[in-house]
This record gives sequence, structure tokens and C-alpha cells, in this order.
Amino acid sequence: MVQPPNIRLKTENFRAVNKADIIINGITVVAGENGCGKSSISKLLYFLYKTVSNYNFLVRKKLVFSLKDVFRFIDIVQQELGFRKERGYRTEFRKELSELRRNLYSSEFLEDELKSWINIIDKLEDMYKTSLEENKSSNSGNSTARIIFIIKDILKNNDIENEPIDSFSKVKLFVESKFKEALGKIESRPTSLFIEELKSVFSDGDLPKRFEVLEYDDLIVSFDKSNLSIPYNIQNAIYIDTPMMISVEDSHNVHWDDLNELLLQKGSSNNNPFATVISKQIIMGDVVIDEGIYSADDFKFKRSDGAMFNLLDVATGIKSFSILQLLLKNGTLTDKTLLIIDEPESNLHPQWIIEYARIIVLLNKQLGVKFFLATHNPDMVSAIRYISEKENTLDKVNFYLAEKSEERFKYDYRFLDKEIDPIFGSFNIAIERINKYGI
Amino acid sequence: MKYSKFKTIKLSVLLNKSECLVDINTLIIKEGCLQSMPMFVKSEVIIDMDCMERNLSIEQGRAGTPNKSMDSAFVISDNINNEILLVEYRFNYTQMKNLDKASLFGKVVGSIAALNPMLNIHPKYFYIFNSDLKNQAIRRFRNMNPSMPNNYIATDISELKALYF
Repeated sequence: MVQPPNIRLKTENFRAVNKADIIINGITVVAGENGCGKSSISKLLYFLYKTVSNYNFLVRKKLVFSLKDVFRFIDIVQQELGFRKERGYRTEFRKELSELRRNLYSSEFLEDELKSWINIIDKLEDMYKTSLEENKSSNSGNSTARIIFIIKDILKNNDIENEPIDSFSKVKLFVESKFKEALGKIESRPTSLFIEELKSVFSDGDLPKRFEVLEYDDLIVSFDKSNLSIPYNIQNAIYIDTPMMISVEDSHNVHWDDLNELLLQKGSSNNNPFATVISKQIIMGDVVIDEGIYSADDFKFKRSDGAMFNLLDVATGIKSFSILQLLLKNGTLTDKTLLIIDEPESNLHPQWIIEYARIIVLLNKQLGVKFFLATHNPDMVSAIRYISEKENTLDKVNFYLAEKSEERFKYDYRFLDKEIDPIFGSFNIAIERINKYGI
Repeated sequence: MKYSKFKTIKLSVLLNKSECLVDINTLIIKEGCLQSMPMFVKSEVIIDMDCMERNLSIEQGRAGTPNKSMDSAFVISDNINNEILLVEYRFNYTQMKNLDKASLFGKVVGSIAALNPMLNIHPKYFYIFNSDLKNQAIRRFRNMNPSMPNNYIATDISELKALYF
């Protein structure tokens, strides 16, 4: 039986992409001129897998966001009550609050967390009642008016009683509704979450007319399907569009922030053989994380002669390999990883382009890492094609060429299988131009 | 200019190598062309340069050590000018990495010497690859150091046919 493709992505009418039907089995290489939509497909793939593979996390993140005002409310109320000044009690309460928020990410069952939230609001309500009693006897005022305004803001409802004690139940109902919404999303995995995610990425808000992802020919994601299936073949996606992203903070590029966070993760694969190949045979050095005591962690490049540099100051080509080194060392790259690289040849000397291609082929062969590469470079295309053939992995490599469609500024992605000559036909326009403009 | 069968035959007679005339389909099949045959349907004949160089080496007392040469030659003409077109077939190439610049140059030099430098040789030399490698060959020619001159043309058999037949 012929094995169906591990992953197959079909999209239509999405930015510059008129039609694309792309298979990812091992290494998929897409070539085409600037503006043909290669990066749009890269981003689509990245945010797809970021959503479907981290679905529960994303739902929890949204839950945390929707409860942030409630959290602040709890904090303010316990502070403002001004009673039970015993230090031990207040510290205990603050600890409980901190755990409350943390557990929204880490706890296995959100149902348990809902109970904790209701508990703490109940406790607050009791405190408030006690406070009212104490104030009555001492005739001192409290900050009722402010608390009322906060509750109105949280519930987005002006129809709130003027006595906060009557509104605690409404806050509890609000919290319950947010938890139920999150639990419902985790249960049913609606496609809408992915669509929301895409809308936040593609600033112009345009989404593909058609978008389908199949795993072993089974539809797992589609805009026409109400739910997202859990993917198996790809469980984490990494997107590298430039090595210049390294150490850039608050970039406004979500995928840069995601990658920087990933690179800083500690792992146990410090002796990874591929990291050693990069270190000893290519860049003649090693990238290390400098754990800052007084500052944020940073990346350093330790040259083989012992000289140490800030990674930001080294050649951009070294950064390209360093990213791979870090991902290998922290054990992120597995057979369930999709590594999406836009123009992997960027900033690399021709001989390093070939070395980079070799590492890609070997990572696919030895670790099973899957790649989606968008390239403009003939050497990269040749190297992937012929090194894979030598390594007996060509059956998992697929090439595509973006060709102009009938509609202006739109491209169709032609499946080339293992044939790279049509890609060279497109690259060779450059040679025709040299012949035309030069001697 | 287009292929001239009459003038190609005449050239072989002039060179005293009419035994080396061969049907173009036969020669390209021998060289490994996998296109459906016959590609050329007008009984076009060309000069098998390997045959010519082999026979020449015997005549010149260096049998067994023929010079390198292009695979074929034929005459193209516009009825006023006549030129000999040299063509090398590289159908057996599966990878570009084996392309050797010195060998490519050497074949042209050997062929010109064999044909008689006094004859009018077309300034473009053609290297014919399988269609699925044509564009890679064009790129490889350009990327050689220094680059192959522009008159060394990498192409496929269909384009050669379209240009001259």
C-alpha cells in the first residue's frame, strides 16, 4: 500500500497564492520569485501548528486574559479591606492568589481551578462581611464606591447594586462563565480559535478562501470543519525567517518572540552530535547561553580558540547555524517538529549554504525533523536535491515552483516531485539578464 | 541558418570521411537520448566526429590515441553563408558535478583541428543535455570559474531541433 502523505496542505486565494497543494513528508522546498506568497504559506503553516499543537495552552492563555480584571479586583479588595492585619494571614492569602493564576496554566483539570477561584471569592465575600460588621461598630468608612465601579467594569454592567456584597455572586457567575467557555473550547476545539489567531497575524485580516490540512489523507483542519483535530505527525512548529531575530526583544513579530523564548530553554542534549558537527566542522565555535545574574540571559559565541563574543556581534552566517545549534542542544528538534525556514541561504557564503543544506538533510534523515523551506538560491536547491539522493532520503523530498497564474499578481504552486530543473529555468532568467546587460 | 543535408554530405566527401555520415536519430540514441524516436523525420544525416577522429588518427599514424572531439558536426546554411555546427551530446549525464571545463574546451579544439581550421566553423558550440537537466547545465556553465564563454551553449535536443532543423 502506498503511504499517503504525512501532511498535505491545500490553500486557495490567499494573498499572492492562487492555488497551492503542498505535501510535507520530509523536506519540502518551495521556490519562486519575490511576492509569490512563499512567506504567507510559511506563516500559515506556523500559526496553524502553533494553534493546533498548543491548543489547550492558548485557551488557558485567553482565560487568564479574560480573568485578569477579576484577579486585580480580588487583589484590591483584600488590600482595601484593611482588616486582619496579621502579617501571616495576608502573606498566606497572597500566596493563594499567586497560585491561583499560575495554576491556570499548569493544572491538569480546569474544573478544579474553577473551584479554587470560587473558593477565594467566597473567602473574600466573608472578609467583606466581617469588614462591614467591624466598620459598623467602629463607624469608619470603607471604599465601597470604588469597588462598585470596579465590579461594574468587570461585568460590563451598570445595573449593579450599590452595595458590593450583593455583587459578589455576579462576579462568581462571571468567573464560572469564563471557565465554562474555556472548558467548552478545550472539549470541542473549535476552528474559530485558529481563525482568530490568523486574523491577529495577517494584519490586513484577509484569510484564505480555502484552507485544508490532511494527515495521512484524513482532513484534520479546514475552515469548513467546525473543529480542529489533534495533529500527530507535527506537534511543534518553529519558524525562522531571519537570523537577525536573535535576542531582539519586543519585536512585534510573534514568531520572533516565540523563537527567542525557545532558544533560551535549557535542555539536556549538550552533546548532540549534529551540534558538534556545526561547532567543529563549520562555524568553529559554540553558542552558549550566558545566564545573567543582574540582567537577562544572553547568547554568547565561544570560538574554538577560546575567544568569547556576544552573539549579536558575530557574523550573521554564524547566527544562522547558532540557532540550529541551540535548538539541537535544548532537545527541541524531534521527528514531530516542523522547522519552517524562509530563505535559509540568507547571509551565508556559498560554501556554507551547502553545509546548511547538508545539516538539513541529515537532521531529516537521522532525527526525522520535517522541513518547509522557501528559497531563491540555486545552490540550496541543488544541495538539498543531490545530498538527499546520496543519503537515500530523496523519496521524502518534494519540490514546488510558484508560477504566475492567469490572474495578475497571483501564483499557482506547481508540484515538481524530485525534478528541480524547472526551478533552475526560473533562476536562469538572471543569467539571461547578465547576458543582456553584460559583456 | 538551417541544417543542410546536401552540404553536410558534401562536407563529408570533402573531408574524405563519408563513411562517418550517420542518421542523426541513430547517433543520438547511441549517445543515450531517451526521447521518443524518430525525432528527426527527414532522414537527416550528420558527421559522427568520433568516427572521423578515429579514422584520422589511423591515417596520421597515431591509432589508438584519438584526440578529444565533439560528437557530431553538420552544415548550416542560409544559402549565402555556410557554417559547420559542432554538437556534443551529454544525455548520459545525471548530475552536473561531473562537468569538466577543460574537457568541454578540449573537445572543441580537437574538433576544429580534425575538421580543418580553414573551414568556416560556427562560433557557438552546443552541448545537448536531457531536458530535465538543461536549466541546471545552463547555470553550471555560468557558475564555472571563470564562467564558460557565452558561445558555449547548454541546451536540449528539442531546442537544437527548433533552432536549426
